[in-house]
Amino acid sequence: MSETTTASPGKADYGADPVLRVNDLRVRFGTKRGRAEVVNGLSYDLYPGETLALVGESGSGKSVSTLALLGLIPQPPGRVTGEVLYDGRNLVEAGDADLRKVRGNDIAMIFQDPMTSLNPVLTIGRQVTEGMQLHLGLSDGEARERAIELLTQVGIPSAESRLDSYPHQFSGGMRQRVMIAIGLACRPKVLIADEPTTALDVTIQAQIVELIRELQIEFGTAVIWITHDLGVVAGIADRVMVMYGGRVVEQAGVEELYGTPLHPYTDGLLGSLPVLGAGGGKRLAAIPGLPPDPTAMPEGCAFWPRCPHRLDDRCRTEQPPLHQVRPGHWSRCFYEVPDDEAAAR
Amino acid sequence: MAAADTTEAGAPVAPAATSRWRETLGIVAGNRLALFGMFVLGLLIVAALLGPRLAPYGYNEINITDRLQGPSATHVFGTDDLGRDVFSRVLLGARVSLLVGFVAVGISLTAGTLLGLIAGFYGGRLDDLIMRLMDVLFAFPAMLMAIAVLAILGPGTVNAMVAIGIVYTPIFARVTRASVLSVREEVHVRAARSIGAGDVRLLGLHILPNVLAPIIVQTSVSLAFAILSEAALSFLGLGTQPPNPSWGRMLSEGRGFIQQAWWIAVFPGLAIFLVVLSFNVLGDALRDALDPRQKSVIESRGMKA
Repeated sequence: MSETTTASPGKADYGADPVLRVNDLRVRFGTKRGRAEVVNGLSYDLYPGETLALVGESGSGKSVSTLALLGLIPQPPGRVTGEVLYDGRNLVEAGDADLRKVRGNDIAMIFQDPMTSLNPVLTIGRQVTEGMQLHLGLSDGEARERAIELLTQVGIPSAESRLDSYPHQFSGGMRQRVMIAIGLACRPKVLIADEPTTALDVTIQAQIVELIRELQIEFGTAVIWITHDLGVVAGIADRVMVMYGGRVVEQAGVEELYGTPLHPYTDGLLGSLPVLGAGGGKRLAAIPGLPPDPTAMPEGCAFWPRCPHRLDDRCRTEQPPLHQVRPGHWSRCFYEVPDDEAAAR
Repeated sequence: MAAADTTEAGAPVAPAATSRWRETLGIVAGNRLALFGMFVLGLLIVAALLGPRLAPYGYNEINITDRLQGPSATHVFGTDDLGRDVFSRVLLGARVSLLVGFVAVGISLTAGTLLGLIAGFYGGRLDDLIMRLMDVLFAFPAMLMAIAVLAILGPGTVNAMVAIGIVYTPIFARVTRASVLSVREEVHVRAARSIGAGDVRLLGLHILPNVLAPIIVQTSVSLAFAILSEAALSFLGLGTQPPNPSWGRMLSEGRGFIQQAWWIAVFPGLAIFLVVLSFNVLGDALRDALDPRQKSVIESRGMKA
């Protein structure tokens, strides 16, 4: 897939084979109110070194889809089908022992809230070296050395003395750095960052984003960055996938997406960003309505109830396919957002 | 304790890494009642370990001529109806009480925690099976069940340990399971799983250390109950058999002499009372120290910087 210019040229390698291929991933949960269809046919390729942003509201299925990649969805009550191809294997069908070898070692994940993602009763050193000892078979001394190196790389001063500290002795930003160190300890090929900056102050956010970007370039890791912050996306992503109702509704390179949003939902999201100085005193634009109930997913387009365009009845009854509207730019809509509306942005 | 934190860009002030255990002990030590409890416990342990050497007389040193004598210089707690020194018997009885208490609670703790961990972590039918079994055990009044077990196994100190151990297993299982149910949903458990930790590692390294607090408190409380239960069983003649000294048994034997020689029953009774009180007080202090909300209240009282 040929690509538009990336944020940092030379980082993503689109010429190589994808490091991860996801085909028709579906995740359903059995609930008291019926079957919840949380992820409905997700397909994408992840290339080495690229940053793929997964954007969507809460409940769009973005986090669940990445948990499914690592087999972290408990299978009753959940049910995961589809293909997650890594290194020639389909992880959806892999057994627990195989999955454990992949987790942390090849595909790692960092979580949103640094306050709760670390075990409060273990030292930082213990937690950073845990993955290394599981996967790399390092001796205690070697693991410790490597931990000190990692902690220094993520920006924790006096790393050696901090190895024996406990999480409650670190601030939120520091803890998130530790989380990043744990995630990258085994040099995984894929890092899933599930809203790593959402719980942090804005200034720290910028530092963390920058840190992940630097480490990514150094280690050549592909990053799936889950967020609902469009500002962050603009700063770090090569490609963006917008999710709604468990499906990708738009997918493009970052500049292409921001410049020419094709799907009404993306258009609405970008339009809801407040702009300083524009039309003082005007109400903030919002997308009215709520995301669809996963236990009652509509037959047609999931965005139809909230779509400002609703060009015809086909949208309500038929599920629009994801199709390539422009080179490298896919949209799940029967129509394109009227050009004049986009031009006004 | 607020950590002297590093600014993101400034020079670090790395504080001494105090584990939560040291923090907790510090808080407990600050509570005077708890200190008293620990002191009594200390005495008890000394008595248990050095009893035979400290006791002025043997526990079965019968001396009919000196029988039923009140507390005096030669017999600090007096003598019983067979002329045995009550003080020595109380001292040596400490050994039995402590032994039975710790071993019995050791059994309950191990079995109960293991069952609670498995039931809470795996859930589903395994959880149902284990907890229904615990419910069955819970349904019986503790003493009756202990007596029933001893009726099958026969009386004696070791059998009393087993009986009491069985009786107190369900409470440990319940306490552990309750904590496991909430800890297993915490993000750090999912994070550990995401780096490849298997079930055993998750249970041992990530879940168990985080559920220890209520288990510790329960241990302290159960120790009190176990010692009390041993005394009760011995009182009924089912626990420690004569001539081995046991506080409960001494109570039972001293009952008939309450009018003429109150010291035979009162001193062992006092000993039971003090020990049970100490364990309870210690348990309370530990619970306060380990409960994060109470902890802040205590810390602010001590006005720690």
